[in-house]
Amino acid sequence: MAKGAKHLRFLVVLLAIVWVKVGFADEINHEKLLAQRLALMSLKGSEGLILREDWMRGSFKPGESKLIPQQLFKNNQYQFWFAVSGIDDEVQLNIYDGDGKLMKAETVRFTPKKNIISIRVVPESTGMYYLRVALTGSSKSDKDWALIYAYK
Amino acid sequence: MKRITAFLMAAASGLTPLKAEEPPVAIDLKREGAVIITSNVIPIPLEVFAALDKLGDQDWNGQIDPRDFKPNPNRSRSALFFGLAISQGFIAVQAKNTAEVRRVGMSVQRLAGSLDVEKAVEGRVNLIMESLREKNWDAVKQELDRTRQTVLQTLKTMPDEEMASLVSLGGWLGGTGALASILKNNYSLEGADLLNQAGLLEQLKDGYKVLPSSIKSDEVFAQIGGALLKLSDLMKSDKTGTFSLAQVSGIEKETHTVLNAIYGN
Repeated sequence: MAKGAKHLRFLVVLLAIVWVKVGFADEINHEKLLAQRLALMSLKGSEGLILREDWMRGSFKPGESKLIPQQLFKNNQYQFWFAVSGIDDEVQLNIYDGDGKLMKAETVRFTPKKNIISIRVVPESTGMYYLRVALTGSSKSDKDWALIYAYK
Repeated sequence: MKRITAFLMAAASGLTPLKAEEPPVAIDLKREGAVIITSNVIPIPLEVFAALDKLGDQDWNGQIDPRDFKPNPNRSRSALFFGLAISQGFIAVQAKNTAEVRRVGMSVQRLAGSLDVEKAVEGRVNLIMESLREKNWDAVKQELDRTRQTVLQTLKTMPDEEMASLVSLGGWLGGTGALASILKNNYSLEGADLLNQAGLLEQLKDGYKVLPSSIKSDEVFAQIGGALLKLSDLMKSDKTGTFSLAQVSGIEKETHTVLNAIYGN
């Protein structure tokens, strides 16, 4: 009887762990965590960049690129971090202005890791900009990505 | 030799790793097939306020709106109120007005109750108050943004997940109202450039258009739809790429008319 109760308790605890994991599955995103870890490292003792809580996510196949519109304001500085988890393939992150022209941006790589990248940009005018994310590699399956940013 | 063999084997199996390509120097954004993702990341008012502050000291205390949110059984109205409350909080932080941030904190908690997200928000509001006691304004800013994000995320798990769009819209209207008001009273070409948000407004307008009519049943939503159309005309810079004082005044008038309608007076 005591053994049965012990088993039941174990089962309840196990179910609770599974429930908690499932319940939080939507909130925990590995790509976002990866990008945030790098952002926090970059922001440590830095020049007052404020990390936004909002973030962007999606998925793509190697060889594909996507454009993400983002409103930026003149006089501000921005830093973006882009991460794709579970791959060794190289990611790219660039920014284009509202006319589709490639903008100057400082790129930060986190060698030897190629699946994460960051860029710093100072917009020359206020308006809509387009972040271009791209992935090279040989995998055939879709890869999830996350993009976060900070401003000051 | 080993490397060559590995390369040949990979090539034969069709798994040759692609080399990183140089990004194109220009992209035709109107080209069919340009994969543009709909971003739901709306800048918070603090971003544009930070840009405005770099142009000189601003009268943020003059932008504090002491109006309280009248209890309303309509969840959609509460979602707009929540966004507005957060934008009021950002303005109060800019003004470093402790009493106002505290008042906003209480409004946020009350409105979270109307939206059934109070549990998610409770801890966040406590952190806002704690940071406020320590006069740690950067932490207050961060916690306000986290509160906003927590509510957006929680709403997205609910059956009427579209409420999250109304929170963002309320926040944008509140922030834009304050921005336009400051610029009207202290006009400069460079400052007015911050209203160059036509692309963002298109995003908001498109998002608003596709919201189910059931959540836009309150009469104020017809006014909001009309205001977004008018603002989209006003938020186009002239041929020289600038915004005139008349345009700034027009944006200020339009945002305040719709904000009054939302507040219910």
